[in-house]
Amino acid sequence: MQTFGNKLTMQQDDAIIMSEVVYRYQKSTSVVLNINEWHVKRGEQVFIHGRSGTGKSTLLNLLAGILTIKEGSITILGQALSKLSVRQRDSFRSRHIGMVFQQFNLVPYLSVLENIQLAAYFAGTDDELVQQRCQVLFEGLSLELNLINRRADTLSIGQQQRVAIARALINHPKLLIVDEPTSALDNEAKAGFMTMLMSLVKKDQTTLIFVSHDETLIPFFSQQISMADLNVSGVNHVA
Amino acid sequence: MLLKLATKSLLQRRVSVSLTVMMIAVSVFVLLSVETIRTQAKESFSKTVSGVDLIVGARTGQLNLLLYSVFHIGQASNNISWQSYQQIAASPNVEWTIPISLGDSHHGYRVLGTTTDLFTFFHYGKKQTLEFAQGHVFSGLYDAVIGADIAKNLGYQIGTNIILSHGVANTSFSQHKDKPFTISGILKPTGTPTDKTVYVGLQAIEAIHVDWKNGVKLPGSNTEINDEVLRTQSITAFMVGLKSKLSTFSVQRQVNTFPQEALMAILPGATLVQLWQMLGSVEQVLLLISVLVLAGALLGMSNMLLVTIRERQHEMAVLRTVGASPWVIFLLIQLEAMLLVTSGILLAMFILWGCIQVFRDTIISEYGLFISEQVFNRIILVDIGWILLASFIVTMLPAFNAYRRSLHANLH
Repeated sequence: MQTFGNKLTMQQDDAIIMSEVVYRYQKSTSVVLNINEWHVKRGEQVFIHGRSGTGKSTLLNLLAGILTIKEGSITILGQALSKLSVRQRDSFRSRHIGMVFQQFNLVPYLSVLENIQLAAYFAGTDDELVQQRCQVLFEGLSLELNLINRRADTLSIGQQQRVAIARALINHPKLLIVDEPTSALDNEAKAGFMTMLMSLVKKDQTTLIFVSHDETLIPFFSQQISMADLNVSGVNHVA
Repeated sequence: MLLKLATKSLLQRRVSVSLTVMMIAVSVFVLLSVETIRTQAKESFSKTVSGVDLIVGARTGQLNLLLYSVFHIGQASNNISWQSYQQIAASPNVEWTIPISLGDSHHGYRVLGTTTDLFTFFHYGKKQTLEFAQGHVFSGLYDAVIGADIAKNLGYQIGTNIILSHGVANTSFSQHKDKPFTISGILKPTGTPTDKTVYVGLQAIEAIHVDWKNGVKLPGSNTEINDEVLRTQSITAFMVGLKSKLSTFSVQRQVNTFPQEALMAILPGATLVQLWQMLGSVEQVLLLISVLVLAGALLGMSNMLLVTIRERQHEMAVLRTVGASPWVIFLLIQLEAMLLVTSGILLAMFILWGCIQVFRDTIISEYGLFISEQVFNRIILVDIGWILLASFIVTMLPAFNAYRRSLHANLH
């Protein structure tokens, strides 16, 4: 799937390359996101600082290949997203990108295991591997293994967010996209959550894109950038 | 995995889902009942009699004659005198005749007085003759042969004594208590009114009505039974087999213009066709109504799914996140609809089967309709195919709605 072609060696080291990206919801409406040039190296953990209304949701949806652009180019892990069909993008996402959101990360009526199996199903990961990896991830996230057969909606928010991380990492993604995962957690849980997340991504050398308005989290990261600097569309000034 | 997802998602909404399933089940039940009765009525009516060229009775409506003589529904308006019967039976074109004498019953089952010719010449279904499961034809005066259903339902065996009732009502007050019959034979099941009939000799009919006048037993009198008394005076109708089919119409005309008595002859096949034509439009209306009821139920299901899709935005977003394409979302909704409709159909089939078990005997005795206990048949399967196709089409709307929403699922 990853066709590097005759790209420069330097670019191969990049997990994300965005250049001259312009996004608007409809043709007539104003530009929501405009990124001139942005590179993220493989294995880096980037904190994107931004409040709502600054185009961060749009950015994450573009990175995941759920939204598509008409202008500019986005290359994820060496793959130009615009060259993929809708189905190929979905398949690419299931295998290479993990995502965690603020809340509602799990299908409420499925068990914890079934939620994780769902992600593995779309990526085509072998069920035996899922079981093994579950054990490792649950240990790393301080989740008790006996939660695995509980319905997702019977878990506390903190537990749900940690299961969401496990779900996102089950297929060994190269890129993990995380959006305000700690906003529903108290301070103590937040610190624990961050420690576990950072140690898991560092161990697997996963590229992490972490979006939050919470500046107290900055010390956990090697790099940080503000949405306002990234998005030159001027939308952030309105919001 | 998708099936599991669809199943669990439906179980999540138990109340509205079970109501929808019931709604579908009721409408499918209505449709399948109409179809079952429609098709089985035709089948059971047409297989009741075969190889009989003409049926002769007192002048009445064609359908009436057919119904009372073959299907044992309704009553004869008048009898045929024995002399007239003999005269027609002796006609050179006639190969055989089977006299029929109706009017008595046993526990609601009709009693048919006839001769042993019945067991030789009468055919049903695909030219099959009546066969005995046990015993033999009536030989003694008070012998009776019973149909398979009577033996089964009343637990009768060879040698059981039975008492016939005067008239055909289910509960008759006047019984022929003084002249009990002995069962000499039990017929194999045929799936025709034969299964519900008690066969006795013509002389037996005369014997039990000795000392009766105008439907009541004369008190005190007790005439001795002898050949003179047993001579048959009249019969209700008779079936005719001809030597050549070519003479059918000439014999029919001969009967219809019979000088001594007002008689008529009908061709059973032609009269059945007439019956279908009469029932045809009623059938169409019933079918149309049941199709409309089903359409209503399917639209209701579609609406239920559409409403839930708005509530399931987050769930759809999660599925998209883990790599489900919008088509998978489309498929998921279709799968849920299929599960709903399939459960509805299964429930309907079960109810239909139960109803047939419970009401089968009533339908047979009241309407002479033999409904097979087999619920599945080719026509029903074709219907189910159409129902599934219709539900697929109707679910397009909510499924495309889900597809469209998940295409731009705003993940946050």
